[in-house]
Amino acid sequence: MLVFLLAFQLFFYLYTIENKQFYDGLETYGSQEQFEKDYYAYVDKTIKHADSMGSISIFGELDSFSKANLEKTKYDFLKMINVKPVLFEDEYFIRFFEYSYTHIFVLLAGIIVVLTLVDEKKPGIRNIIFASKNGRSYLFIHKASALFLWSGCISLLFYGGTLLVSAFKYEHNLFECFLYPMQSIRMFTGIPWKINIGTFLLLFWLYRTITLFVIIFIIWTILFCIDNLMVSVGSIGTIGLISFVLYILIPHNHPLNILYYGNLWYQMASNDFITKYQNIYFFSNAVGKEVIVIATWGIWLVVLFVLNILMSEYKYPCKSIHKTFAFTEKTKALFRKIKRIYRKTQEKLSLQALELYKILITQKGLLIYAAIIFIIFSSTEYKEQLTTGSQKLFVDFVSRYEGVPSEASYAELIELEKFLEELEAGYVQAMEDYANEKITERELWAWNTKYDLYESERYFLKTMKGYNGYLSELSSFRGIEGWYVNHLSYNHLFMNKNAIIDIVILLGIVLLCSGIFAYDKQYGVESMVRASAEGRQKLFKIKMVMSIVLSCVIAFVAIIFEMSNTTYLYKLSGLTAPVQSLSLLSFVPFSCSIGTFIVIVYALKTLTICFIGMIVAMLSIFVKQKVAIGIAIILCVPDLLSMIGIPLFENVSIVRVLSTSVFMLETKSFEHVLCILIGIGVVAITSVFVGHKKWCYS
Amino acid sequence: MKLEIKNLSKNYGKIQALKNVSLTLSPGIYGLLGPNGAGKSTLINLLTDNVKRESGEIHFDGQEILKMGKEYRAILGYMPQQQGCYEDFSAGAFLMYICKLKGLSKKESLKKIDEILSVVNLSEYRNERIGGFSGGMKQRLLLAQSLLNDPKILILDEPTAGVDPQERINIRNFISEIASDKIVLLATHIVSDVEAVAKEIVLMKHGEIIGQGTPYKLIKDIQANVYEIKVEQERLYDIQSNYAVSNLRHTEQGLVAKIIAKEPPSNVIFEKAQANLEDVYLYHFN
Repeated sequence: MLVFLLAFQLFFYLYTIENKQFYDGLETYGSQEQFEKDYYAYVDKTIKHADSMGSISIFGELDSFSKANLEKTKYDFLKMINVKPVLFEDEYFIRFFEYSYTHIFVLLAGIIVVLTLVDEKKPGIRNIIFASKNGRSYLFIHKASALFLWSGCISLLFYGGTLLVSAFKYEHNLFECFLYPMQSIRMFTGIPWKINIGTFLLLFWLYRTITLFVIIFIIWTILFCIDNLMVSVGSIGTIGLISFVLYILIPHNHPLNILYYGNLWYQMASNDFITKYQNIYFFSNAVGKEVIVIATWGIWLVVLFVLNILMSEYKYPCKSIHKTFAFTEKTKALFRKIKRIYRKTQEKLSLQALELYKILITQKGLLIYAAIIFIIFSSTEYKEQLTTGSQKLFVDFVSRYEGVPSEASYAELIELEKFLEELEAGYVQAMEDYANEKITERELWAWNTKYDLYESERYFLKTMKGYNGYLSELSSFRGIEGWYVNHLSYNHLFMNKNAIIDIVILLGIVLLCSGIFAYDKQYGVESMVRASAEGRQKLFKIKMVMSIVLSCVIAFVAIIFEMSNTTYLYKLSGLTAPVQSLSLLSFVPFSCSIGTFIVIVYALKTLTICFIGMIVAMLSIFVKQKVAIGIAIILCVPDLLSMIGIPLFENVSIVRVLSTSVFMLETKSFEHVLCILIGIGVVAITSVFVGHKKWCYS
Repeated sequence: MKLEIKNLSKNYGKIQALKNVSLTLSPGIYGLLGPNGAGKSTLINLLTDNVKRESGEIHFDGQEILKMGKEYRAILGYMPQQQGCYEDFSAGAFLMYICKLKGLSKKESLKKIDEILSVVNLSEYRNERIGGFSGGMKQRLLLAQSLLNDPKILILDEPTAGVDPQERINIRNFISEIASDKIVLLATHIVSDVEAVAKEIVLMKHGEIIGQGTPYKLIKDIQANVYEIKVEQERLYDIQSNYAVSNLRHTEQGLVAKIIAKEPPSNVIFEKAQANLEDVYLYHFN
């Protein structure tokens, strides 16, 4: 499995660097002398900047972070004044450090190693181990050491392998630069560490090893401390989610950035620690990131060791030799009470609720939902989109004149056009005058600057002319009075294609719905259940409703994220405008408002997802759950291939249909989407009939 | 109350699992005895309407069970062979789930669950997770679920499988107590399960009924074929190869083997021996 993962990672890396253009150091700097000079100038500038900022009162306040930060920066860079970086072709290093997917593969590999230890959770084996002489602390230390060694091996293999592949790809000798100062790699110019590249790579490997070790040690500790798999995976997921949210929400220059840099997610998912210089605010002191990182590791390791000791005492208290901790007995009594309440509540559930319980708890449906939400959230872009000057003008204009174009709006555009024409005429005249030596170069340059200043307005006017033309045609040929509407937000809403989310939705539906009927068969309960009075028609209806409910929840989650993402980045206005006001929706054959159209699109998406859920649930009456999952994975293959640049089977992708709006825009046909939905619906209803017959009759 | 099975057949591909089986059952315990693959579970699956029959009829009090549908399943109690349970459920929650499937109201269900758990000695485990139960406890729980709706027809497929001798006796005695007003069909290949309690034994082999009657009658039928012989250690292997040996015991005079044979054994001194149901099993299925 690790070998496969490594091979896949290297292949993926090779593919992603295939088409990127990059200029090496030699091309950028030209000569060693120039490179050294530029580096010295940079260090000198940084020191002088720190000095000068420190003399300004608001930054130079005693006991303030700013002063401490500036002093530390000056001190750090003073050490670098005599460093002479060596100019060499460093693009393979930069490509290696910029590539962020290795971290995912390394984390997966670490998790695989932990999962191999899961067998020892089984009561039989665990009891044997714990009853043996060296089965406790001795074994624990050995296992922790083994995990550490594995972390080292994985980091060496994956990172080392990627670096070697990168060097090979760019046809450079990796080892020739090991004695060069690390600042010889251009992306490390700003890092004030006086070490060579070889030492730096060693420290990088150590950093990656310890980070991976801490993470997998957390996972291992939780898996072994908590018997219940759902609770342990949920706990791991919660820790991961908190780390991820802190990483996303806290900016790196925020006063609370200690929560950002002391975050394992940041340490695992990013090479920023290495590539960017940053001091951290810590009780009015400026400390380097490396201090925070080491402190994070230390705190986690201490917490985990203490947790392991406490859990060991809780589960296997040694009454004969040591005094049992009082809390152990009280905690056990509390857990017993909680368990009793939980079991009594289970008894009070209705038949529908028990069916839902089976899917969400017994079949780990809650975990699947959590994974879906997490993946959709992390795949959704919440960073503010860059808008051009003309886009800003457009947004401002349509928000002021939202509605059917009025005389006032036309008047403003005419005024702008007149102004731009006058400006253009003036500029043309200035060029003529300069040619005839009537004005100086400086005056022409002034005209040039003025002309360029209104580039955005020119583009804006062009856009508005096109828009007005479109609205005018809409009115003349289709009798629809279109509105001015901010199409940027709707472009984002309707055209935001994310194949990962679509694949996750499909897999989520399959994982949740494929066990609805298959679970009873798998656990040998089917014949007993079907032999009862309400175990056929009534139970079938309940299970069908479950499949629809589960699918609807997935659909709503996806829709909520889509809508919230768009409303977070843009303001959705003009919802009551005719849908054809948006040129990208000009093909819609019926009249309705944009708001209504959004509802229709999302209703179609929900229906599609529900139909797929029903088909999967019916399939589970006939085949094992694994077969259904296998079919789903096969259906995702065209999109997975397309994601890595092999669009061979894109047109037969079923996953595309889940992105209803994108699919509609790609085919430019509402009817097409409707036909496909009807087709899927027919298959769903047929499968329900066939499934009903199989389940309810012998 | 009568359950009539007429010319029932079932094929699984080319294999004929049941061949024109006919049987009439009235209140009491019927032991369905046969080796693995005899067709016991197939017959049971047909009686519980879990598989489709090729031909034949099953009538309960004159009505075809397929036409009765839900009405028939409402009077049916079924304990399957596999120890299938929802391991994450507590015993109480599992029985509540089955009660709801059997169409009982909440009040009825709670009353029934209390009763049945005390009958099968699982009351103190009501809130415990089924996954932590021993094999015997799971069997008792499965037996309990089959009785929740006070069924008129109780079908038990290998109810003592994987259970220790004490538990087996307990389950057997329990079935005997409740069976007076029910049709109980007990499928097993363990003779002792049915020997003491069954009203009638039905012998099945290769999808057919090869014998039927009270234990006394079946034993009487083969009484003439049961012998005891003294045998030397050196000849034991020969005897075991040529005859069905139901018992081997050491006496002061040496080894004494109880054999079942169609003809009296030759070249050896023999005596008539008292037959039992195990001998019947060996006679028909060896």
